[in-house]
Amino acid sequence: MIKRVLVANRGEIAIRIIRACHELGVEAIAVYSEADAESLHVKMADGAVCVGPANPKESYLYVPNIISAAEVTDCDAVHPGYGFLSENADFAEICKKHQLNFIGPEPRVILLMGDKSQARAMMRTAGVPIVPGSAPLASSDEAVIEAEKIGYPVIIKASGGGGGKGMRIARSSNEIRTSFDVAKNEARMAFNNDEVYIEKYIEKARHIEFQVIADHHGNVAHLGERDCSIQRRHQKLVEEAPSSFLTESLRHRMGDIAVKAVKTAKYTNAGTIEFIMDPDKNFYFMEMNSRIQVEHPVTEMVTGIDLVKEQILIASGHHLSFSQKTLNISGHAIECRICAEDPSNHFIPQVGTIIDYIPSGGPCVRIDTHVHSGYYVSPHYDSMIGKVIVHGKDRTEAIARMKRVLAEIKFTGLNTTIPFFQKLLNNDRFVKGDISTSFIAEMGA
Amino acid sequence: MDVNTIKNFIKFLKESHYNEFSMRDGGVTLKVKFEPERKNDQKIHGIDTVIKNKSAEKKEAEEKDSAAKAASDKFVKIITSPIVGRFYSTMMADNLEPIREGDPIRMNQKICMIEAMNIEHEISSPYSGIMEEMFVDDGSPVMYGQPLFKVRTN
Repeated sequence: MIKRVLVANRGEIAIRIIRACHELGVEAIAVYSEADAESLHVKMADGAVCVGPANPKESYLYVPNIISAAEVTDCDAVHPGYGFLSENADFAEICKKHQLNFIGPEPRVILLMGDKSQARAMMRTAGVPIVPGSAPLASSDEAVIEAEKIGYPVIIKASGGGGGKGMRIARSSNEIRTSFDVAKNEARMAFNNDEVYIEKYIEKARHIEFQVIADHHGNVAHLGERDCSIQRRHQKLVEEAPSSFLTESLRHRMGDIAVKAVKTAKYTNAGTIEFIMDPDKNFYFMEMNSRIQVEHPVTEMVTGIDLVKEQILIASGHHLSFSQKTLNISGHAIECRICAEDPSNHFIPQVGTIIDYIPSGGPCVRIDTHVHSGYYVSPHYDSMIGKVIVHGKDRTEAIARMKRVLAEIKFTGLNTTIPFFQKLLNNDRFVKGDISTSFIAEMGA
Repeated sequence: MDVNTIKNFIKFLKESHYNEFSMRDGGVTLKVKFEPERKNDQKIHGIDTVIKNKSAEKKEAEEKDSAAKAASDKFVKIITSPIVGRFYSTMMADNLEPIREGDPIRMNQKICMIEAMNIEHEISSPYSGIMEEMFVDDGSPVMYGQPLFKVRTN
């Protein structure tokens, strides 16, 4: 069994991991930047090591100091959380070389899932449906020929990256001709690689992802889906489990495919398989995230499984604590990511001190946060200041509960996205479950 | 002076904070000198200075206090650790004598070594002056920004 874990992250996820360690009787060592010296994760851990200045490149992303922090504190494992070094295959490999148990999949698998075209090819061989698309394209003429085969609308995408850069939607050959070079230039500027390809553009799409987990003894299970369709500029804002759009038979079919994909990739530990689903319930593989996700608590709320504890136990060589047959999904969970951003002013990130933090509570409420009264929201890191997760016997109760919690919880001193969520939870279309990835844009936010 | 007396004497000195001692008893002169310990192969299980246990917190508070006092004196400079690793006042490769409190040091002079990921990193002084205080013990883990030396500049 792992004895002492270096938590190579900050904020709420660092606290989440420390809590899992403590419940397992495992010691947790925090790392922190100079800007985070007074942070809650530093205070909660059994020990803490300053790994650099505020700039993440020189601290949370600086591999030599992270590895050295694990070595001088006699840690035998490293949990990377999400973001920072979590999907860095080189880091996972270095951990291995230094006899540190990386709590996540093998470096080879991280590398495979990080290469989108390789991951798509592997999923295709595993029988996972892939969005119809082309190979890299040299000219707009080639793109038009491919688009005629796939059918409009199509989306021009950059091979080298994501985050919306180099993406253009085209609904006709004329639109391809006007957008192709623009997308290529944007890709060159953003990723230093102007290679582009086209894919079928799914309108009114839903983002449905499956939580999967596998141990080192060949046991694989999925923990159902999460609906993360409420997004703004490709950033998830609200996540739900289960999705009100899926039927039981579809859930089984998608879950079986997710498990098959995990087995094909020889994937171990926790991961997420992301699908895009059209209004006719056709679904296609998008990508696999080889880490714990921000939205993992909604799955925990409906399954009762502690995913981070499972991760640590799997890395220690234990068997999965449950099987597909014993897993039970009950009720409905919703998560809202609360950010220090001004929703009335283009979601501009807010920097400053939270004068008072007044938490909410009551039945079936979980708040994962690293902030406290007097906490300084630094410009160096993500603007997320906490996650509010609620559980209800059904979606209606979960929505009512989330409204109650958001009315109670207070972060004074700076603007947060709470008013935006309050508006969303009162939107008729949202309440009916009529959502898609373009919902927020249509709402005018 | 019999062997047992000498043995007991050495044991007493080991437990004391003295590194050197000499005495004369009649025609016999006894000189004892301890080499500074190089705990290279010693794995530290009790995580001390890096980890925020109570004694480390006290030590850190003292270091901060000393560093704060130094900040008010413009001739006094604090040299901090630029990396995370294990601190050694001597350098294996150069067979360098450790710097002791009161020693003069020059700018760019190698003053200690920090071992990280099995690599020895030589640390040079950014100042010339007198080394007034060394804040960490040989073989101790150090973290980024941790005070190592106090130097009175010329």
